[in-house]
Amino acid sequence: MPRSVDEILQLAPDTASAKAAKGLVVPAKWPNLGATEAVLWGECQGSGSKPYQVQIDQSEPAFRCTCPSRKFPCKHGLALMLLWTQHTARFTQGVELPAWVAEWLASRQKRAEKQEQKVKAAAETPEAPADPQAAAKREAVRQQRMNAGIDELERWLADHVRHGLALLPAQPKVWGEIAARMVDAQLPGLAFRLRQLEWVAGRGHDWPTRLLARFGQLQLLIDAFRRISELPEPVQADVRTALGLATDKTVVVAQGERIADTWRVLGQSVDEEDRLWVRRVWLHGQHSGRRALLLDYAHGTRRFDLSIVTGAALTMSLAFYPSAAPLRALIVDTPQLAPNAKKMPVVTLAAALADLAAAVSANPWQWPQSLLISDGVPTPTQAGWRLRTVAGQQLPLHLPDEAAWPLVAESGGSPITLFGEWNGETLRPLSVWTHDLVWREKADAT
Amino acid sequence: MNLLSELSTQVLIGVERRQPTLPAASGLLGELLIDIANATPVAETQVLRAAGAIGICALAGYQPALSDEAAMAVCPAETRRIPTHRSLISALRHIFDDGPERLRVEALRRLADAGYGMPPRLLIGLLQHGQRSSALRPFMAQAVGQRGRWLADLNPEWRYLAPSSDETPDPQSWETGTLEQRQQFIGWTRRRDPAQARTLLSAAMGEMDARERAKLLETMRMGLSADDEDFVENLLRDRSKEVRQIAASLLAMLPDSRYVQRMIERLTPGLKNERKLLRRKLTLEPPEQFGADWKQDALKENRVQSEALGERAWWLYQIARVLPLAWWEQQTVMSAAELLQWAKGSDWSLALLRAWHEALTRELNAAWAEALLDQLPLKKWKPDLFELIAVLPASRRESHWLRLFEDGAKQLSHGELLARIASSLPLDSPMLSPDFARRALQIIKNNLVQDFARWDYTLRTSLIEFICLFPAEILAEAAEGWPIDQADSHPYVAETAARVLAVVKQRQTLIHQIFPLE
Repeated sequence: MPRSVDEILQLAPDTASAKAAKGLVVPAKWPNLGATEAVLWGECQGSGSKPYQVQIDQSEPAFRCTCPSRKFPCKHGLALMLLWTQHTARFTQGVELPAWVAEWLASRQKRAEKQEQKVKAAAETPEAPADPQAAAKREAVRQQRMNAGIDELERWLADHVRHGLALLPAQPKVWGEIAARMVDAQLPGLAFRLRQLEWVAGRGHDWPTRLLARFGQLQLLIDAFRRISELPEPVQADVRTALGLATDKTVVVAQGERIADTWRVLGQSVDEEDRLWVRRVWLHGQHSGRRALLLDYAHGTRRFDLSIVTGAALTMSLAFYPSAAPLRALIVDTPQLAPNAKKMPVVTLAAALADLAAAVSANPWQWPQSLLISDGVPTPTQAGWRLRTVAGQQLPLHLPDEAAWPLVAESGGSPITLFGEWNGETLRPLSVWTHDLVWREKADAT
Repeated sequence: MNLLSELSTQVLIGVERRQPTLPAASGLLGELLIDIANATPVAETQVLRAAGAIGICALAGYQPALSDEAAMAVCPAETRRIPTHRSLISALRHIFDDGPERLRVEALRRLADAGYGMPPRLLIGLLQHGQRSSALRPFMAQAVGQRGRWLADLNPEWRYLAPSSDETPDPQSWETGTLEQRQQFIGWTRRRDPAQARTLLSAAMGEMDARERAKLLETMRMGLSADDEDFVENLLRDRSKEVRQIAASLLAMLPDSRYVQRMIERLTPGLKNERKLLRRKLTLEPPEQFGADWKQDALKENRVQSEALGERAWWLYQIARVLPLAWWEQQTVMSAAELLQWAKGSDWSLALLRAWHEALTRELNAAWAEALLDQLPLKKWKPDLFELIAVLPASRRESHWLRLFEDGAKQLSHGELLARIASSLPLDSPMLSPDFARRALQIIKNNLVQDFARWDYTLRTSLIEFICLFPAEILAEAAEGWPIDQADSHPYVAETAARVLAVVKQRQTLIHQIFPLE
């Protein structure tokens, strides 16, 4: 599919790559350029003696380059795509694929087939454990570890309440230590929540209140774990997710609630912790009105499926994870770009907060929540950036100055539609819309 | 969260020291808290469960704070058209991201002339450019539109755009401001009321240190007139050598000043225009002695070590540079060309040529500049050609530049040549003539295929700026014949060519997409 320069640069992992790619859009540096409907390829002269072989499968798009860069896609891939939009005539078309391109395509094809078979097999025959006895034993050991971990955390929380929270800001190491204990107990969700508390303790004048609230929620999670079998099934699922127990994707694909719709990509955020990259993609179903969240992880390098571009509308089916407030979902078929996206929905702050209340009541463990607000004006105040309604309500924005001013320029002091992630205290804007998408969080903003 | 903050204050010191009181609330939350208290025997767990319940209710029932500040003003409706064409917006984005500055100025001027305003999404970038580069500011006022002025009102860093920034600077800054602020203030005053500026300066001279006196005296260059003579002449007796020298150079700008008159008197005895047979013969004998009162006129008796002139030539040079060029012409009844020719043959050629060069740059005397250029190159002395050419009227410059190109400019690469040409022209200068642009470009292109072209690093930036001086009618030609897809051309050369093509395209987009309303 033809892309505009801006759309292509949106795929760049950071601004440096985008800039470097622009500098490579020089046909003389690309002695061999070729294209078919599905694939682009080219050889780019780098600093070495052998040119880099760069190829793009246009359908996803998927990139491959022989350069040693750890960025993905690398500058060569982006440049090749830019060349295709700006110097199409320089690509030879209708020739046979070079061997290196054909090999790559074939290997991709193979992998895709394998994946498909795996999914199919899983859907047909629910995986039976190879050795039921060993599996049961493993499960018992795991359960024991979790129980021990839960007990330990409960004692830890009670100790701190007994001795006082005032001591905690002076002990930055405690969070890592207790988090590590929870990892050992196979409760990574608790570990994650505990690590975050390092940024609560001692920060801001009201930190004791916020810290105590988080402690209290951990206690409720402990309570919920203890009596999990008494809870309704969707709530069980939410508690398990909050504790960090994985739900099998194949089960979600096979049994999850399915919704086929045209999904508008409202925004995406990418965060890194300990070389683990997390991408959250937020979708809005144009007919169903549903909100959905695609969660992807990448280890070591930031490498995600690139077919999802903020602002795009994709026709596809999603399978939702079980939850009392279903949100997280998986794509179960190939997304098709919908040519005529409907207008963005109009949601007042009051309505957005009412939806938020319902979502939190159903599943208090979801973090972060999302908010789409159409009647706010980004406003600089003495205390920082705020999204302000006509009625004078102010939502704190988590936004550096250099990102905030473009929003003010777009709004001109009138309401705009803003989408972002809500952590209970501040809103992190991911995209801004007037009649169309006018701003999105830069890839390397955080 | 009020309920929770009471509880957390208690927990801050720990429940072992004081039994906590659980908060009470009305309604369902209150009932829940009572249930929790009843069902939980341990105090710590009681606190935690209550905190958890209140915390989650607070998350669900979040209500934003209400502001008592007035909302900021809404931006007035835009009175200018905002471009919507994608290629134009994209070209503008590239122009403001990557430059060069000259192209930015062209874009702003075209937008302003055709009644367009910058699209909001590019405004912040533009305002930030203006913050860094004051050269861009004069061209921004119209193109920023209502939205830009509205933004500038919100951010102190962009106040330079506000109409108020041209209003009276704070008089307080003259009394208590930094040197820069005082310089600004006196400069502003000088533009409006030269006498007032002089009075202020004269009153303050006694209280300033040498550096301040020198800096502020420089502002007198603006609107200098005979009225300033007494004040400036007084400063020839200043304690600081730097101030004395600035004063002397100011007085040299006033052809009828007593200072210039004294210099004429010092030179005249040595200058003889004698009739020999049928020809007139002009002779010049520099003074033999350094006069007793010369030092008071900021003349220096001794040369610096690196000085090429001899002692008497050095004195002659210092005196001669002060004299108006018209005086020489009247005195000798000779033209600039004749005088230069004569000087070349005299014993004092270097002193005279250097002195006249200084005088012609001070007077911006085109006839003398042209005459001097015709005498070049000289063996002993190489004046800055570009400064000389800049003194000429625009129509006379190009032939000299072209000569530099065609001579294969020995000391300068093509890149440096272009850079010097561009930097001698203001950012909003008229375009070059099509003929000159064509010829120069042809020479550069021919040169590019040579291997040494790749060592010309300056060309990379200066060629692009040069392209920004091309008249619209030859842009299409300028885009042709670049070694952009020849595999054997050096990547650096190919990159330069690609940049040229990109700028040509951006300029064409500006020209074709921005047009005045019918």
